[in-house]
Amino acid sequence: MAEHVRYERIGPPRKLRRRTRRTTWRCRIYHVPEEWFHRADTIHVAAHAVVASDFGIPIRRAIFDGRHRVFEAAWGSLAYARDDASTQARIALERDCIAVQCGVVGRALALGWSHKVWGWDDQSLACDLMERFEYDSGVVTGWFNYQRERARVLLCDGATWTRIELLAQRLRAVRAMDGPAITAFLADLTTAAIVVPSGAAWRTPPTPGVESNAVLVWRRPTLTEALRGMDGYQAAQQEEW
Amino acid sequence: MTIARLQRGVTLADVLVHEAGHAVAAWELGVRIGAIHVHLRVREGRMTFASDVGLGRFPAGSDVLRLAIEREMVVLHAGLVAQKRFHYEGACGLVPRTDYEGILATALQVETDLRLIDEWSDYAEERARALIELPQTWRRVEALAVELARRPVLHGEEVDAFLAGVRVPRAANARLAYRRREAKEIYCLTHRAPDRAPLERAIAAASRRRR
Repeated sequence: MAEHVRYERIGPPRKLRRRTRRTTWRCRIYHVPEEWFHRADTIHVAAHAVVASDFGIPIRRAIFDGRHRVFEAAWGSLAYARDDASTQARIALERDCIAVQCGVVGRALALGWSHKVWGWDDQSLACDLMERFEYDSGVVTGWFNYQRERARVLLCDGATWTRIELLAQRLRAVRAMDGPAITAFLADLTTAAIVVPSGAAWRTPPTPGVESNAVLVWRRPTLTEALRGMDGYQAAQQEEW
Repeated sequence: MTIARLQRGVTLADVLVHEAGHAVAAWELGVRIGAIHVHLRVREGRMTFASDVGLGRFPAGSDVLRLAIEREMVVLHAGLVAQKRFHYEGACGLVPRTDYEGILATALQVETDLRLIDEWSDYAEERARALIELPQTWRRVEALAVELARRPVLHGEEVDAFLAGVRVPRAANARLAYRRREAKEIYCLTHRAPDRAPLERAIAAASRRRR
């Protein structure tokens, strides 16, 4: 008898679908807590916290102990009705999504390279939020990429990165902080020096078995590349970022 | 914003649709239109609008300023997007330098990171595409393109009055429309020559009548 084939369900799991109806947002990191990744994980949680605090998103708690890495905040965009096209709703949604993306971006900056992302995580959560507002998949993708770049620019700012590093150290020491404690810590912070991200190239490590590096694939030139007179092949020859 | 006949494939209808795309996007987003000038003989057009960004109307670095910049980026992208929607082959490889330089100059008012500006521009282009592909927007673009063949110089008030008077199809449920379109895997609306023919005929008739 032929074995019954079970295809993977396409789309987010039920739990994730429910998450957009909640008023709080919980970011959990699941993997074996190796010491090697402790710094990157705390930076991930602290980046969420600092940017959420700067954007005025209410923070519930942040936890970093031997087993748990959790960050919880309340979404600003859920105060607006679905399909509310007002300026305030758009701004709130964009801020929520940037705060969500800051975790992965901060982690990549801390490590100098980005993890391949398996499964559903913060970034799929940002897409779920955007679908409250935009239906066109092209617009959602474009908005997502723009938010990621804004997160990168925010975190590369020396003052922001210094606060993230200090909050990450504090979080590793005390293991759990609630919203008021984080706000008070960031408000009282005085720094004698500025720390910047390492400056190591932020790139996805190549996987030779999967991705061929022998074929030059045409890529649509970006705005600045088009203005420099580059065509799609010249754009593809540029170093991948 | 100007578009000239930079390559052989660009027709008069393409230029008119390009300028109409800018104007309709500006009208839809509440950006004040200055004027549209089209030189029919040399197939060249220009559309101007009043920019809110550099006037200090919004606090520096605020999200409201970013949204105002984004609106203008959508307007600047809408020309080529409409032209591609109308005649894809004719717009292939075309770089509207004036539009792109306008986008870069506008974005540089709040951002200096070029990677961020590139992504921001892509996002604005996607928003322009989604706007232009709406049936009611496209109907207005077609109507304004024919009107431009008849009257090659239109001032802002005239454009506003004309677009307000165009009869458009009833706005469908946007969420359902996108779901259906994606289910059918039709990414762009049709670009075939027979679909362009009615508009091209109307433009040719209007420009003949003018002569």
